[in-house]
Amino acid sequence: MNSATWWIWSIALAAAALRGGENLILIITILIFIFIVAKRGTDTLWGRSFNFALQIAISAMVIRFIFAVIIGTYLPGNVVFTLPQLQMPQLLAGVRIGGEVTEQRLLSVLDESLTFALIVIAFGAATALSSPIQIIKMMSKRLYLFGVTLIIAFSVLPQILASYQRVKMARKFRGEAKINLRNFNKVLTPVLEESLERAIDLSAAIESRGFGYSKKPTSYRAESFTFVDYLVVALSIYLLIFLPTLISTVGFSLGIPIFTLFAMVPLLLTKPMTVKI
Amino acid sequence: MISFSNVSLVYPNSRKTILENLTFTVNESELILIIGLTGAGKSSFMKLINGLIPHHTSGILSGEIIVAGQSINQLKPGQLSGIIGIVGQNPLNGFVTDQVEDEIAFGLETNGIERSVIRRRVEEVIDLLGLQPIRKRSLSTLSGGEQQRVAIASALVMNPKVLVLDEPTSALDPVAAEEVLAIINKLVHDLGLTVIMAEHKLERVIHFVDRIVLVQGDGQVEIGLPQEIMNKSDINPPIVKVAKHLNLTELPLSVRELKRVTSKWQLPIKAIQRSAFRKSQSSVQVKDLSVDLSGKRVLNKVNLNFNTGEIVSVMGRNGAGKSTLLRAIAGGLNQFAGEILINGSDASKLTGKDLVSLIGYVPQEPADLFFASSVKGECEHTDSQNGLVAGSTEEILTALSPSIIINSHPRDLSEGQKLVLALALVLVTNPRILILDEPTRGLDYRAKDQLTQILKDVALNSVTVILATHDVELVAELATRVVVIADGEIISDGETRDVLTSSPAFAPQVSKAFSSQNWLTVADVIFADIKEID
Repeated sequence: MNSATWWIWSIALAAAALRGGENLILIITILIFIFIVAKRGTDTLWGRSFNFALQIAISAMVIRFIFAVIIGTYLPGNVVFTLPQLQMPQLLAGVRIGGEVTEQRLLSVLDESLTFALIVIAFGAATALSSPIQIIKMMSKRLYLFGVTLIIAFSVLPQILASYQRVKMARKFRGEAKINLRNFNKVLTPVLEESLERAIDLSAAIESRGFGYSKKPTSYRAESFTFVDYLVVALSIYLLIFLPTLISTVGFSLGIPIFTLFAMVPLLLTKPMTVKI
Repeated sequence: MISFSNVSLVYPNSRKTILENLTFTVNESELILIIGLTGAGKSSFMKLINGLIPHHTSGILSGEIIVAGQSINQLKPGQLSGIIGIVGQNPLNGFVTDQVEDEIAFGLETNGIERSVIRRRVEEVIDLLGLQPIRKRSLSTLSGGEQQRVAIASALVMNPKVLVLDEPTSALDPVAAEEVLAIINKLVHDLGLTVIMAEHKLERVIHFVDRIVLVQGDGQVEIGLPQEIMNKSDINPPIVKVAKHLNLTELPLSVRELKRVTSKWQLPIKAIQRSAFRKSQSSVQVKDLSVDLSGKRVLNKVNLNFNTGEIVSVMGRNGAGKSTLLRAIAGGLNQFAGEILINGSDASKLTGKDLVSLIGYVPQEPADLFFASSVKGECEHTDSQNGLVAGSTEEILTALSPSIIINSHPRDLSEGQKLVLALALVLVTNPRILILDEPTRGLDYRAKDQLTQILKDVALNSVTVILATHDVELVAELATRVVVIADGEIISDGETRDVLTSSPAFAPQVSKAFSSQNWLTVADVIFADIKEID
């Protein structure tokens, strides 16, 4: 499937779920993203970056919950449990530290943090499922220098991570202290020098292979939209527009399975992108 | 095919002349080898051919270079992409996409070739280079030899008339190097491709090249048949050294040619004694070491014992687990099963001063250790870091290599000088164990000889030296013991002479040429003092 289709699919699906408004739909959508990335993700660095997106989403949810329990304005309702409360001065009357934690408060925090998690995971999934180089090749037919810059940026990033790991280990063998803010520039020097060398090598390679000299580049893969791409885009947009209507007409118990089925269409119609080892 | 007329090249802000008034012609389907010390200008020479110098990297060029009838002075490298394919020293640095097929197709796509043609040509090169099993793989998961083959494939797919290769085998194990070189040889002979190649390991290539270009480094260039250049130059593979010692009139270039000459000779005159190995105490003990990296078993129940004063070479294919083993011994791995004892204590718990006084570790890229802006700065930092008398590191450095300019930037040093600087930085704390991960990558003959001498001296002070390398000839010269790893398990471990002579993949040239003897090096042949029967 085209890289652009994956992006449209994941953004439309996230937006549809948000429009649907129910926490159950958000959770199902998050699970769909996780499942499809597990089945169709690539074994490149971008594919592996999905784990990072998951970590961000989970830690953001946890932090939000901790804050919501400890501080914030008072929301009346059924008390779940009570923490010892700090007495605030008159000036900060509206602010609460500790005290009663109500069901309403926990539910509203769940709403907020699920929304955030869904957006992060949707972007993570789109990155993991598509190839950045493919997108660059599509967009940069006329913008030669812009294309070269983007290719270098996307290729050097994984290398920066790898050389950071190596330099960190090399420091240990010179008996240096652990990396902190003060000696960070000493770590940065070898890492950046190496990525500069790599960037020069790569730009020489791109130049030698004639990137940007032909007015009309062609493509090896059938990158043009196929029937599958049209179908997935159409279904995603249908869900985006009509999900609330769908749920209100056929009801929740039927609406959810239809949503899930439509969202999973890419999985049914595509094969894994690369052979995992 | 390629003609240089009165070509001179200097870099701006540099007084050194790379090339001076060079005139020569490369004929169609010739295989040209470029040799010279590191930093002499081999890479510059190759970049000139497709115009990367002066169009991409700055350089002041005079004279004219004509490739397939077109002058590179007017054309940019991109316009020559259909005529010249270029493969850089580190193929991973030149990869644009992230998957094998996409990478091969990239050049054709940007040149606007029709899809049906692209498909056909991609299939052709995949078959030619045997890439079928890995065609769908991600580039970052390939081994060194596979990466090199993909890089050659993506240059060949353009149907170039000239292929330029910068040290295609420097990072490869002996077997993978043979594969790549066999393919290059096939391309020249079957397809009539013109190939220009730089290579340090002469013993691997010299027998099938047509002419050699010797870049002297002072602007002068010698061009001639392999025999002529070998006669003049002191950069010689072991076979040629043996032939020169035996005063053969016609220099043999391959094992086969030397064998033909010496087959009627009487061997041996003096038998080689097994090197009397001094009984010494154990310094490193590896017990049941198993390591898993990203879900894959890299080392499996490895048991090893290293003694003081030994020089142990760890060999094996790319990805066999050599680097992991060295890193584990050096205390650079946090998660492993088993036990590693260094002089009786657990290495993985050591940090800071305790670690550097016990273990010296030189990583694959010596430059990882550098972070100051001058060689002097590095030395001073190491002195103060380890509480040594000011100037100690500098003293060691000048003892190792007097020619290093103390005010230059560490990154501007040649590969050999970088390695020497890294050695000085770790040796100053008098470590009991010295570990080097592939120290010979990119080193020329002179730097290798220097390294051999340094390591032998270090080992004499009852330091255990452990190194991972692919360089069979260096191992033959240097190591007292060889450990071969395959798929994370030790498959042989013994004295260098026994291990190297018993395996065809790891046998040095001398051992192949005199297969009935247990000789490894030129020195062995000289010692044996063989003579022709009248």
